[in-house]
Amino acid sequence: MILKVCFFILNSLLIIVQPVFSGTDISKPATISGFVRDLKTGESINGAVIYPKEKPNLGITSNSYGYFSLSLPAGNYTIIIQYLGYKTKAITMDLKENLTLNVDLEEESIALKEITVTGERNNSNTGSNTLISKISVKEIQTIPVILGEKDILKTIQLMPGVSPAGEGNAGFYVRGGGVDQNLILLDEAPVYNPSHLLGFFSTFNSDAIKDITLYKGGFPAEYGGRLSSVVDIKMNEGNNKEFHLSGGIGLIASRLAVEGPILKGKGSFMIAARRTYADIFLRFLPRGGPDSIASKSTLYFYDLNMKANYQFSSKDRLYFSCYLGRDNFNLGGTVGLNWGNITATTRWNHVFSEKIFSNTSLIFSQYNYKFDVAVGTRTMNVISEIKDWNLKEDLHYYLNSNNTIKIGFNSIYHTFVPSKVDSTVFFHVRSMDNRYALENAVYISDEQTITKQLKATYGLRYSIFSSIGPGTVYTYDEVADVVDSATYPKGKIFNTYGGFEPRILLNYIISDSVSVKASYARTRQYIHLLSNTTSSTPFDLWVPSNINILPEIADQYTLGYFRNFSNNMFETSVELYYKNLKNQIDYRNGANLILNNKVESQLVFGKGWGYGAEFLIRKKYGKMTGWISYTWSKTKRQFKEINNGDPFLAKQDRPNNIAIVGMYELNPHLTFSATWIYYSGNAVTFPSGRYVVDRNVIPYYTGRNGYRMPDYHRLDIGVTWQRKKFKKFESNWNFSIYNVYARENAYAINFQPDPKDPTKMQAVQLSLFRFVPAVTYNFRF
Amino acid sequence: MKIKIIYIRIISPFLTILFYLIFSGCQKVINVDLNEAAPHIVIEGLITDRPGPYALLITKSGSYFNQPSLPPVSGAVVIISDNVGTIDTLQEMKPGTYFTSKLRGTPGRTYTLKVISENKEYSGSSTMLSHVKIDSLGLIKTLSQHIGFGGDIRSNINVTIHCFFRDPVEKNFYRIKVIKNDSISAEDYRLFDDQYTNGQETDLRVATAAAGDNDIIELYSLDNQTYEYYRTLADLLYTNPIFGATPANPNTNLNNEALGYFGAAAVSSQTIRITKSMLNKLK
Repeated sequence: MILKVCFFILNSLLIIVQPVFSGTDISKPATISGFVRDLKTGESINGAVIYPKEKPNLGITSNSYGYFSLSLPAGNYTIIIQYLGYKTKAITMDLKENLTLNVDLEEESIALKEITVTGERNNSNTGSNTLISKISVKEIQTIPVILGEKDILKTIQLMPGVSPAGEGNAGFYVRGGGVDQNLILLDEAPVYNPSHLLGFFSTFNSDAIKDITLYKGGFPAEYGGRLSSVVDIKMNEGNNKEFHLSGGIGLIASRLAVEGPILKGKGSFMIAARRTYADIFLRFLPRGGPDSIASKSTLYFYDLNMKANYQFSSKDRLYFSCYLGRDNFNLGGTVGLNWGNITATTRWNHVFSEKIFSNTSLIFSQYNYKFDVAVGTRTMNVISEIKDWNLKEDLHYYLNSNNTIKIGFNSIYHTFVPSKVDSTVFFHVRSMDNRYALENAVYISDEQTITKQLKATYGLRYSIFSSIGPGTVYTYDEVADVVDSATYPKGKIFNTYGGFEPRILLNYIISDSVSVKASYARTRQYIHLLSNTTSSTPFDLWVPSNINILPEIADQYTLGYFRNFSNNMFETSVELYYKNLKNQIDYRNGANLILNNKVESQLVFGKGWGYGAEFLIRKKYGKMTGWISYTWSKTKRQFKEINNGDPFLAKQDRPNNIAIVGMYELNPHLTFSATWIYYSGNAVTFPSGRYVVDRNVIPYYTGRNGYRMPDYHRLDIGVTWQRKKFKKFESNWNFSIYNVYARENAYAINFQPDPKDPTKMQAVQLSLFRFVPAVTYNFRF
Repeated sequence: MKIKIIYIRIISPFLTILFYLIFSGCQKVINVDLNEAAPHIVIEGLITDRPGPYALLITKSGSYFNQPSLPPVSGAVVIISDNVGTIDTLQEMKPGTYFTSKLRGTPGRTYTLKVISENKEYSGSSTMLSHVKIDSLGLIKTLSQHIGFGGDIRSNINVTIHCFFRDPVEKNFYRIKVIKNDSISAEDYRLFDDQYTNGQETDLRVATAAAGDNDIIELYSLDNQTYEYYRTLADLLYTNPIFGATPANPNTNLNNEALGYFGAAAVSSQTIRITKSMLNKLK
């Protein structure tokens, strides 16, 4: 019912919009529309370019469901359909009336790749009106990674402007933004904690993932809710022609995936599972042994990805995707901790007409952790959770060959459970109050070809966020004491914030292989992650904006120069950005964030800004592929309560950041790869003196983040040995070494009295992961 | 007993273990170039409701690595006054240590410190909250479990000293100090407030007991500012830097960039001498 009403509203909107945008030169246009799919698997291809050879500037790219719609004046055309790694298709036609064209693209075999290098290549970098970094799992298959676990979130950290939050951390900073300012979407569902085991692994099992698209700036209007980036991850759809079983056995985890048709050609499914077995090693600990507590302890994580789709008619397709992952830690049955995410997405694609494509999504996301202690008859357990119900509608209206209009809305109902305590020890311990909130947004955008050389995508998003009762809101004075409180009944809407988020991206095409892109985007963020620790922990807490926490706002300006060389074999770019951040969050000295019902009183608010330059050279074809990226940047914050109110370097400030990724295919059986990473150490706070109080030596600090950790660098190498292929079976071995030259990178530096002579002080460096070899065996039936 | 402390105490070693279990961490002493901050005055004084004189220590901060001993500050003018008109000018008995002569700490009074040294004036004040008496100390046999660094849980039956007292209805902040066999070492900070036990009979486990031990248990009733100083100091001293927040100087009640604190506390103490027969009786 609600959906119908929404459609009605949207349709009415379209009627209003239509005359405004109606073109002027359309004599007698006809529309070619359809889906682009993979010939072998039937999976939709997102980002394929479709254009008439006669008018190459009228091209269009397929959307994330593979749909495209191209309106052209009647006439004779050769329609070219291109996608990286696939054979280009050319279809000649005499276009008189609307036409449905479903295109199946054939993947290039390895042998063909070399031959077709000289063929025509798509200027996807310079021609498209987007600012994205897109990586498919296929591309990164041979990149060496720690313990052999392929990880797409780690690979994205090798792109310019992105840097890891710490050694081996799945968390990352984009252009000086915080870890919580990245919107990580798995089939449209936000993933609130994308890490396993303190962040050493991401929650994304690469067997289940198709590709990842990163937006660092120039955000399209359909995305919102986070300040710094959008990481859009798509799961595999599954093969709709034949069944396959694939898997891998690695040092710490094993994987198994199955895919196949539901009704041949009509639909497909994919199920992928992964489980680690680190707990097996517990037995080998010094105090281990079959009867020790260590051997009775568990330590593992698992992931389960499922996806299915079914085509009901030529106009309707239903997708269902689901993710379930959990970390489990238990010490001898006494202390237990488990945490994980659940996401579920149901999507309905509907083609209203050859010009109007609709997608409606109903999304569920949840992250929670459970903490149990049982000592004899005394038990305590604590649950903390964030849960979303999310309804989304996106309409793509292919108005004419020059305008593609996107319009939609998004409505999220958030439930925050900061902590629910159930205890037989501490009867007086109360659970913390749940919070409820509604986050709504509407948007409209137009992707317009203004002239042959100038393309623009501009849009407007309006987002609004309200707290919903029941709830109690406290007001605090400057020293964090409660001065007032207001209690709202169930269903009462209070503390509403909202605002416009204008977005614009201009692409000036100087020539086929050279373009300049400029963008501006405002983003608003209404939910915030509270974590005052340096590493990601399961206990990090999401809180909504309310009277004490204003929404975070960012304005970002970018300017980029893109140029392709050697028939697009090399893509190069230089991008500059400037970012201004409002209402940033930091913590009071000695802030207590755990089990604190008045957690807002521990926060302080300020502003931030950052700027930088990013350079990228990427080689996309040939025996040798890979990229070199270099980023120079500066990130600052300013808070009245911190550093005497003077600006200071944010902890994510990393002036220099280099990544070199190379993959070399010696022959069809052997591929070598190497990655070298260098970045400046984090800005940190070290003591500048010491003093004694109560016979304790106390470090004296002069300012926030006045020092820097030592530079970080590391080389990883790998080799993939492809075994002889059989008709029904193929397999490969992957050997890798992480940190080949055993660089002792500082993970933390601790200042303390020398245990042997307490009058002397010392600095102790902790480093992890020196020279970690790994082997993985992968197979596919 | 405070759940928050227990919760954090469990979480912190828990994460640390998780860390060491999986990843072969490597620690080594390194050289770090640190700036040399200009020396700051460090003031340390606590007025209690025990008979005086009370000592006030004044020292200076120094280089983190390159200064073996930190100098005392002599020749300062130190005055402590209370809110009923007592003004006590402290006498320097040995370099940097100043003593009161007539002040007598009394619950309910507010004490103000003024220090003039090297042409700079520093001040701070603290209020002594009501005296909270330890009703009794007791020995209780418990199953104690803690997590070892090997990842195992060591559970053993042991005897612990418990401290019983009634928490007043007002907001209270406490520090427990255990003096074992008259040993004087660097102080630790066992702190708690009455958030979950306000107005209740309170039972605190304070120390392990072994035959032959002579333990003095002291219960300090602190004001919010002094508690806040100890709390932020403890945070700085005990938090593992891997999981800790950005470090900062503790929140002091002294002004003019002086380090340290000036506090007032009502102290209650009891002594327990543990004998073999006491432990045997617990069977």
